[in-house]
Amino acid sequence: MIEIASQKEKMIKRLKDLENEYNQGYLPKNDFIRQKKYLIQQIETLEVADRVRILQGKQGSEKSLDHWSEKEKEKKGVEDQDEKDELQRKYMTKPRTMKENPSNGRFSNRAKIIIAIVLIIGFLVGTALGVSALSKTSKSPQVSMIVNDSALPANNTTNITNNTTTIKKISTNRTRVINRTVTRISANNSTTP
Amino acid sequence: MNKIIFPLILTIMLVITVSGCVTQKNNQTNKYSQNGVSFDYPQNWTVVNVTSPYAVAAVADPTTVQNDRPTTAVIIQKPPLKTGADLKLAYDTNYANFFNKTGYQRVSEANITSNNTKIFENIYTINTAGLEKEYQVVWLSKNRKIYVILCSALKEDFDREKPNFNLVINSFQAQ
Repeated sequence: MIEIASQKEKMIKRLKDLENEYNQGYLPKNDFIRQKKYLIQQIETLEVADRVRILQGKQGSEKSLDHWSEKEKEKKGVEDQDEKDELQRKYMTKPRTMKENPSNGRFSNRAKIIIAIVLIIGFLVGTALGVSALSKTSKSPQVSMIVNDSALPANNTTNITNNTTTIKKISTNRTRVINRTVTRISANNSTTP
Repeated sequence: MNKIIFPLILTIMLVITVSGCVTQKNNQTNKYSQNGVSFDYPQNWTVVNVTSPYAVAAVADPTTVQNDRPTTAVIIQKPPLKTGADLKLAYDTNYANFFNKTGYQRVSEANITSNNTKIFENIYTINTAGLEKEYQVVWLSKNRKIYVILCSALKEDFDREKPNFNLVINSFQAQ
């Protein structure tokens, strides 16, 4: 594309020279017309070729060499910037601030103090209750108490006691009477426990 | 933030308070070993005198005294076993007319076998002079001797005292 641009410029220069030669009288009219026609044709051909290239999506040759070198520099500059950004993204991190993410922050100083106070109060209350529970159990009265509940019916036990005394009394007297009494007692027990 | 802190604080306080109160109650026990029987009982209970027939031991909670008598107590009785009779016969004979009395009411009856030992359990209530007590009676036989463990408490206290009664029953040994 740079070649097309330079050839076009050459043709335009030759055309200007030709016109100068003709104006100064160095060139006959017929030769001038023929050569001018040829140069114009050449220039048109180059322009057509340039337009085709533009239509094909390639850069036209209408821009100067400086333009292309600047373009190259720009391109390089963009690539350098991209590379810089990539490196920044990779290795540099944003410093965290409290305002950015307040939910992830720890408790504030005030909350810490409240928690500490409540924990101390809780500990003291718990300890006091525990101690009071301990002292309560150690205060068991030393007075001797009496219980008289029984799983055995009162009648049954009285009968047994009476029977025993009867047996004892009789045993001092006669053996035969003992046997009879015992039989009677066991009969009584089986009917009324 | 307050929504999280206050429930958290309350929970911590509750845990600390409850742990301070509960630990002592559950773990410490005393051991009774006299008159041929031994068993564990709660540390805050005490050994008491007993006038019940055939009683060999009694322990009670001294904080439950009403009319100079503890309402929560465990009494061990050792009634004589008649010749030819066994535990079941003695148990059946004992309760044949037991509940005919006014104010006596049967709650439940159970027949348990534990470690090849037969145990009879009878739970009933007695209401006398406006005082209603609940009784758990366990009958068991060891070495051809009958032992009766009588656990009693006011009806409203009975369920709360059950762990203490079970402590005595489960640790009972006849020597």
